[in-house]
Amino acid sequence: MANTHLNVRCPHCRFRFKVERKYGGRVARCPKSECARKLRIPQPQPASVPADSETEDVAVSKTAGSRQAVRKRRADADPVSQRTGKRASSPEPDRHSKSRASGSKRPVSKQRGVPSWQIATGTLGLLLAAAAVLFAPNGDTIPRNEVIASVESRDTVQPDEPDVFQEKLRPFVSQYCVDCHSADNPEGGIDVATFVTEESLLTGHGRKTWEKVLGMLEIGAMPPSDMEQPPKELREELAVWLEDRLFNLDCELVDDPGRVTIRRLNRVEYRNTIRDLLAVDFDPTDAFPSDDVGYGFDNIGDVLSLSPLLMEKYLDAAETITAEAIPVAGENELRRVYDIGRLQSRPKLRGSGGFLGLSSRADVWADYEAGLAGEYEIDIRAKAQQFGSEPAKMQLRVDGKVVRTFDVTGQMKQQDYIHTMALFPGRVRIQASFINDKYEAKKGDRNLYIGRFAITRPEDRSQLNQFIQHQPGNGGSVREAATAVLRPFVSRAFRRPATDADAGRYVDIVEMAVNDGEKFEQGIQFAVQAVLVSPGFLFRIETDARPDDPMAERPVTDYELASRLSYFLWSSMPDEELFQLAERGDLRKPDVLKQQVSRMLSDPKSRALVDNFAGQWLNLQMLDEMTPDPDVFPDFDARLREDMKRESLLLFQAVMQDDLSVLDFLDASFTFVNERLARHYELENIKGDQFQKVSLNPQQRAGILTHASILTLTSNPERTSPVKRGKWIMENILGDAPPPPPPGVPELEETSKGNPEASMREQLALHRADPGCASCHRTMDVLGFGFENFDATGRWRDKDGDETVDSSGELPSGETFSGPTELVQLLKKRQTDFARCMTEKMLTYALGRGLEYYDRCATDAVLERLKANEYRFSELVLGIVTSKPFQQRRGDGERE
Amino acid sequence: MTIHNHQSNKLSRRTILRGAGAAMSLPLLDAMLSNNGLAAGASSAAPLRTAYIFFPNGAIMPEWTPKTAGENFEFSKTLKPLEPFRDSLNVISGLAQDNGRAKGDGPGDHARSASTFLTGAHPVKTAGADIRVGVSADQFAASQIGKATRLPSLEIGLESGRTAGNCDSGYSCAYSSTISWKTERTPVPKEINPKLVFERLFSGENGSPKERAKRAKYRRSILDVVASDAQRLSKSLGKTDRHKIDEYFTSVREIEERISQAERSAKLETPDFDIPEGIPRDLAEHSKLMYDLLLLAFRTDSTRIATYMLANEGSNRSYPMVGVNSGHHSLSHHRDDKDKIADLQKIDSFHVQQFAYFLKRMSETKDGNGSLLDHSMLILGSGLGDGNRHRHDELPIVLAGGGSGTIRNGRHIQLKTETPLNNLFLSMFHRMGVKADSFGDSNGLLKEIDA
Repeated sequence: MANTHLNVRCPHCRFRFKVERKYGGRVARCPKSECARKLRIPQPQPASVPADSETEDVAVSKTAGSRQAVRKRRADADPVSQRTGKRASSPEPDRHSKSRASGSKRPVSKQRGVPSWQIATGTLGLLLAAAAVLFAPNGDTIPRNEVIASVESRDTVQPDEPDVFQEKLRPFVSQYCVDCHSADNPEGGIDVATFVTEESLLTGHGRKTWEKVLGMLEIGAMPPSDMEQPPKELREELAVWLEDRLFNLDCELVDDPGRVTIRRLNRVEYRNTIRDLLAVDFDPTDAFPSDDVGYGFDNIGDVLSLSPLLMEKYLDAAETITAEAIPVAGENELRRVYDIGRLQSRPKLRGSGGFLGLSSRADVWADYEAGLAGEYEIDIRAKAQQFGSEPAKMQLRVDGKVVRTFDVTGQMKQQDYIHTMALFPGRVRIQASFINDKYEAKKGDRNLYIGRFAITRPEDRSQLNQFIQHQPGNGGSVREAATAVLRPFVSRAFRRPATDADAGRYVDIVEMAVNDGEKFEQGIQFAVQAVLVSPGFLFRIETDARPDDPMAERPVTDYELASRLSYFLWSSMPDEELFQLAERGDLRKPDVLKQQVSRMLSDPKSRALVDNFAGQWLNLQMLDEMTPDPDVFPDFDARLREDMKRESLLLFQAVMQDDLSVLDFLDASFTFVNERLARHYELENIKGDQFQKVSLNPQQRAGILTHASILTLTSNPERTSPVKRGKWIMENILGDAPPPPPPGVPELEETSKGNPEASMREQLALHRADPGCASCHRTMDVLGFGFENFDATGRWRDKDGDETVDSSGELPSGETFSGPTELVQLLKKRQTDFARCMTEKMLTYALGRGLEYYDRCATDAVLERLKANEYRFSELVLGIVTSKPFQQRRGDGERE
Repeated sequence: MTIHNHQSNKLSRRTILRGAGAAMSLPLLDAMLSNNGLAAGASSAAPLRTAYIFFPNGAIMPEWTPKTAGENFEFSKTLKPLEPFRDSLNVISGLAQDNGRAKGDGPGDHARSASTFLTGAHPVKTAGADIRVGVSADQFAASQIGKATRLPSLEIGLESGRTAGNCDSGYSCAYSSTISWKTERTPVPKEINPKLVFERLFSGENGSPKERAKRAKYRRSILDVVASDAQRLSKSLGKTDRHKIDEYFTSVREIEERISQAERSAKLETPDFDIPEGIPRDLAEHSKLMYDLLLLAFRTDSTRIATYMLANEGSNRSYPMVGVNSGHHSLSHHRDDKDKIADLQKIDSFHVQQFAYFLKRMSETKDGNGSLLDHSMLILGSGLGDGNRHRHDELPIVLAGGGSGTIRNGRHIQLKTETPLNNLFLSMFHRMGVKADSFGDSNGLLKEIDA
């Protein structure tokens, strides 16, 4: 008899209902209105249906999915990162499971990692009560009126599967944990007693807590060794179960783009944005306080703060920048003003009221340094006391040559007399002379009064016009002109179309200034200063209609997407092309997006991605803090330090520009050196400061891990540190940052105190004797020892002191190696780990937030894309910019 | 007056000053001393200045702590340079910052010790989201009495914040690169460039009164516009975003307040002080220059509250000027290695010597009816005691300055172990006229310092 329905139990609220078989595998909302959360209807299993059943009971899970389930990395069968070795039977990729309704009580948890608690069983009487709502295959909701389920009342069903949470985890917690981790002052702020339902583990707070618990259970660090110990099998079983709960995600169900906190421009972004907005190079490195770092990067919205000190710096910077970008006529460096105190005269004249009085023939001059060839404007203020038939005459000479004679008209009427002429670079004497003195005693006196000289360089007026395309006058008001200037500017500064209201507040400032008697340009300066310290400019803001509703999802707007792209790849604002595509609504079209990414990566501005992303991913700035002991490493100096950084950045740049496989980072057979670095590497025939591409000695070096930069920044001043090197590789290459040592574990220093004469290998072996340390250190230390052929500044060595270097080792997986390049080849086999690690770092950088558990879905999709495309760099970037967290956003708050 | 001209004024003044040579002392500005933050009962008319000076990685305590308690103690090897100021200071032993301890958060003692130093609060362990610890003593005091001066507080240091990696075992770098927290979520960055410290103290003071008034007027209009922008924006932002915009808004308001303050107060002559060029390459010179600027800030009553971080917590700087070429942090885990301990002691001595220089200059600077040192409370200390073991108790703390006659000096005060450092801060608050019944994890006043 064919089954027509599937019995389903909501994994969130445990509500039971049934749906037609044809909906198997689809995503739906729970029909119980108080719950209404998403779940996946399991696939039916036709072969195993009991004959007397009309419905089939199937497992439904928040975690089982028709797509690939995303698992926590450590659970992958992975010889390197599988530290504890207890993951031999990791969960199968296919997360579906089923349980037969025939009454089998066999706990499904015997199949490791397979959830057992969600199995819905029982086929008792049904009561129609509510309806489930189906989701379209792409995850979008379809109208709620598509009723697909009939629902049975809850109390009619008796679960017959063991409930691991209630039956195992809670008793475990009561017995081994709550003594310390509960009540008013729980140890470490971890209170496990408050979690009384399985669902509570998966809330935001629950996850944070139980991820920590899992970390401790996995490595056997909790309960502490001086407390009562649980059976090993139970601890491991619960660890597997917990990991499954926390990390097996069905991406269609989780489906969360996350939310980025508004991001203040960091120093680099500020500088680049000012450059692209106003064509002014303002370097804030020294002026602004350094930006705080979170998740390894300095562009994380949550971390970037804005103190009064920084606000003051922004105001000062805005003044400096506008002074350069918007010259004010008559008051900028291009216009040189000689007031009468700075004018020379013969005979020596005395001035008053801003004028020198010339009562007889006399010369007044200034020696002017012409910067470049072009049209200069010479502007001389003058007035005259008239007498006789002709007006007073003022002759203008340039380098002795008469170029013009002005009639200074009017009775003591001050006017500016302007002459425009071409000058060539060099010093020129600009001289004004009174040439028609006339005096008749008791009848009259003709006198000339000469005021200030103002000489304007040719670029002056063109520059004035560059920013200010509209001037008041000709019937246009100040407000109209200011609006015409500011509205497009505010749009670019805010990286979105500005409304009249947006621009209007800044226009007010211009009006106020002009009403105060300031020049229009000065008013514009003030307004632009205001824009440059406004939140719309300083923060990258994406506003929402329902900002505090975590369920309110939306695609980012085209303008927001343009900014996300430009700050990711250029650390700067979008350019005109991106703005235009955004305006037309074309930017998110897949082919356009792809073409733009390609264009942006080949633009020189993508150097920002190299310096800022790669520099921070690889921790290259940490090199600045490294001071190798000058007694041991006399050759190390600041220049070599910079060369080291440059080498690593150039490798990244090469991979980016030539669109190589990202795996080349791991084992590139080439690198970039200049003469100094070549000497450090004992490479011959490299001359000069310029870096050039060279092949590496394949016996000694391959890829980033053999770069002097990385080897130095993971060393101590006087010796290498295998632990630091191993830890660096785990964190930045394998993406498996070892958890902090559990509390109470002694530092390496303490461990070895008893045996100060032991070699480093022996000391570390002692360290690993402690089971609390061994789980991580047996990987970390081995990795580090593989690079012992490089000293603390990355030079090759065969001997350390008198001892021959032993750089061989065996990974926990059983793979053995002898020397760094063999180890690099073993690491290259972990290409998935490496690619995932790099993807996670780059996604963090691109989003400007720490990654959450649900982002594993996005990372996984990028990984698939990389695998299918020879791991090409551009695919990594494309994967990220097309990912859900990059393309979409949601309201703030924790989802349930 | 254009902005450009304003800048060239600055330049020309600098040129003149450079010609004028070394700094001369400035006449006391009596007008500024009438309105101060003194607690009732203080004897002097001069305001009370407070500085919290921090050094990282703990100290070699056996060489720091004097052998005997009470008066007439013998100065230890490390503290020896302070002996000339015996009557102006107390060495205080037994203080602790309990919240610097892991409390289940695992490693990260360095980040915790800096963030706890002036807060007495336990920092949230995070590399990014939800950075939170507590308001620091200096900022708390500034929020109440900071309006009396042009700058509510001054935060300076010698080492810039880290720009790569997590600073300490999963703690954001914010925790170890500042000790000042304006709110429990807002770390206050420090200024490390002497030139910028000078400009911060005295900028806005250039130009004619008319020019200054114009600048103030337009800055105020600009700030008005952007403050209303921020408020409008706030409505369409989520909770976390609003925190950020609130932070912005608070900063804007504070600058506005500062402008008003500058307008209310008489024009301050730019002091006769060689305007620093930038960061001196030599660390000793840098450190001294920052002390000079701190003195200048106090002398001109530009601020009465300051923090000074001699290095970031966990700093791995070397101190070649005293013969230490290894990194401070790596040395601090000395495993009882005698050479390393000797090197560390040299670093401790270096910091103490520099502090002694500061005390000397403070004592030589006349202020009201005494010296600046008489009218100050200056803490030198670290958030770690024994750096090797990351101990958060037995902290190395010196309290210098007469506290305007409210402090009984000249002693090595041996307190009960685990006495919260915040008790000292609370006692200092009361002298500064800052109202608080408790602060952080304080559990009482530190009556031992009372005159």
